[in-house]
Amino acid sequence: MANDIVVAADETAATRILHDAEKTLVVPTQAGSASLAGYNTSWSLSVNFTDGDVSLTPPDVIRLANVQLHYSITLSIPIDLNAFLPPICPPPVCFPVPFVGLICVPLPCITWPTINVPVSISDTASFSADFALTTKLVSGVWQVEVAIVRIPKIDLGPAANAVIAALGPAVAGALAPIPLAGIAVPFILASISTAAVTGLLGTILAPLLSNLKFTIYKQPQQFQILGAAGAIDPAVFITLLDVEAAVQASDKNELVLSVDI
Amino acid sequence: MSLTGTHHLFAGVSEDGINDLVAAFFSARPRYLRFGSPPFVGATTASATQTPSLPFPGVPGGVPYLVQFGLPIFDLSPVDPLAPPPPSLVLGPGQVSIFTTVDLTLGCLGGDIGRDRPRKMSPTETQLDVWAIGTPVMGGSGIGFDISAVDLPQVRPDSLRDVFDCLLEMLLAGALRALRLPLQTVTVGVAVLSLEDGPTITSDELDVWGSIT
Amino acid sequence: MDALDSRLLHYGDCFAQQFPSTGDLSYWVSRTGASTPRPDRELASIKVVAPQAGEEHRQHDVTVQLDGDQLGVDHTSKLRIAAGDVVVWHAADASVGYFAVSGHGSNFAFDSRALTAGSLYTHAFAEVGSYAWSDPGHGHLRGRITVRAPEASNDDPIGQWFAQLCEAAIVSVRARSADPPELEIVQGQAVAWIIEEGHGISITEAGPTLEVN
Repeated sequence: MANDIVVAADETAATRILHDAEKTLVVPTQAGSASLAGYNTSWSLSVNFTDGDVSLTPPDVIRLANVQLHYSITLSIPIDLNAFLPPICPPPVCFPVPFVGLICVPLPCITWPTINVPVSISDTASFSADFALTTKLVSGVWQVEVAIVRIPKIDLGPAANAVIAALGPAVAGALAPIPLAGIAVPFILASISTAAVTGLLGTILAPLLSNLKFTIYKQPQQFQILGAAGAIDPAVFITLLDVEAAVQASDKNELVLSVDI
Repeated sequence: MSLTGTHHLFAGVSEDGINDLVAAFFSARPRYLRFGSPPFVGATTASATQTPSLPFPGVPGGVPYLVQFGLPIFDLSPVDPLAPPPPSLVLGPGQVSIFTTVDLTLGCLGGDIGRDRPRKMSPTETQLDVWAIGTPVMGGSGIGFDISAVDLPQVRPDSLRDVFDCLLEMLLAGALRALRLPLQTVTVGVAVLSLEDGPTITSDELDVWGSIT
Repeated sequence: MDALDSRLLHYGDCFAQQFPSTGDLSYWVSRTGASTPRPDRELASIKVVAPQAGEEHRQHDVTVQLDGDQLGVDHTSKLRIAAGDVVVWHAADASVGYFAVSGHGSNFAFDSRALTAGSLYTHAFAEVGSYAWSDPGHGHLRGRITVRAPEASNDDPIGQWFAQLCEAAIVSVRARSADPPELEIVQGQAVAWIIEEGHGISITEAGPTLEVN
């Protein structure tokens, strides 16, 4: 054995290790703005990952199939109603004035406001992707990560359909306080296609997935092997001088960590 | 042949790794190599463990003594041809040979013992090589090593050597009883291993197998 | 369309003043209703001549607009009117912002910030709600305008709404009283306060009011 300590996990154990890593991954809520059918839409996104079937491919690839991506997306779509409803320009109003006779004064045109339509959906999508093993020592902590190799294809059709379904009531609700503006609802809905929603969701999710990493091993370089047992028995540490991770092939492929102490 | 075999998780520590772990343990807790009665050890500290002096009739306060072991060096089977144990000990498969030194010091009390006047204590010491054969065992708090045989090849005549072999077998076994390596240590925190096989020594390494908890 | 305040006119408001006697007058349009015109600004002028026999009183419309970043009016030459005629000032569009109209001649002065008999102020109400109004300088002069949303449940809601907008709601102001004190109108409709008696009157929404220099 060239290394001081070798730990190996077969695909069953590696699956468990990856699922635990998914649980510890905390993705902060993302927010931004992007175009949806020409509307500069604000969005916020929260996600977490679970499950997935693990297969190990030497020398350093872990394939995760059918990872479950759980997401919640909130959109705020600003819609200028003047794009759908003509301004109302009444004629001058005339009225009798005792010391003059009839006076006519102009009335201003009534323009429509811009409304913000909120839409929120939560759903789950699945994807499969290859992840590559990387090892690094950062600020005295050893980390072994699996980083996604390329953005996977995700079927966002169901999510887009969910947004479209939620859009109708959301637009109607946003227009309800505005007298007579309800006639614009079908025109607004017609301006936002499923393809546009799919494009927006892809724009939101792509950066998140392109940087997706799970940490499968994280230990301080000064590794504690025994805790303190009172004042006369202090904690016992060893130094992890080097950590390497790889997938090794034999009668079964294994995820192998090799450590020098 | 896979490392995990019919199990899901494997952890193996090389001979060098075992010696690094042993060195780390006894460097942090040297009291498990140094045992003595007053006046050699006034109180148990991180550096030394106080033991009572040897009681004996007519020796007021008992016989003071100090036992200081050197850092044990482990040789996992097969035997290291450059540092084999003495011929009286055979390193069999799955076993470990341990080499250390022991400093034995007696607090020799001068003058008539039994007289009612203070006697002067003169420490008298000797240093001996100690070889032992052991096997790895799994205890409640981790992997340890049971001693099955000890030899002090420098001691003569043979009858005295037999006495010292027996004495040091008991003392060394007692000292090593504190040495325990948790499973978390041999997996360096990769996963929580539920032990199914081992600890086993082959080819200069100590291996364990199990499933992930 | 902004707050109800005759002291600061804006797009959607009108100020009208009858000129009862002949003479030449100068006037200016300003942002804050300055009592005297800015020295660097050209004054607009009105020439009031004697009416022709049998001639009816006429209305003359003046549009307040922006000349560059300065306020101006749409007539460059002297506005020639007959005694008894009414001049109506209104903003061209919302970019004009707030303005006031002030002027004087040898025997007559007028100021949109202080309405007198023979003047009127109109305001179109854009938002649904209840608006209590009063004259800050004359505590007994007050009223309420209730603005409701247009009906959307009939066959021609837009047509009906237009018809309602074409009807003016009138409040006759006689010194200390308003008739009627309470009015209900539809969103977008204008109210005209016609000053039949009194002087130095302003119509503001009751509560915190805009400070006018």
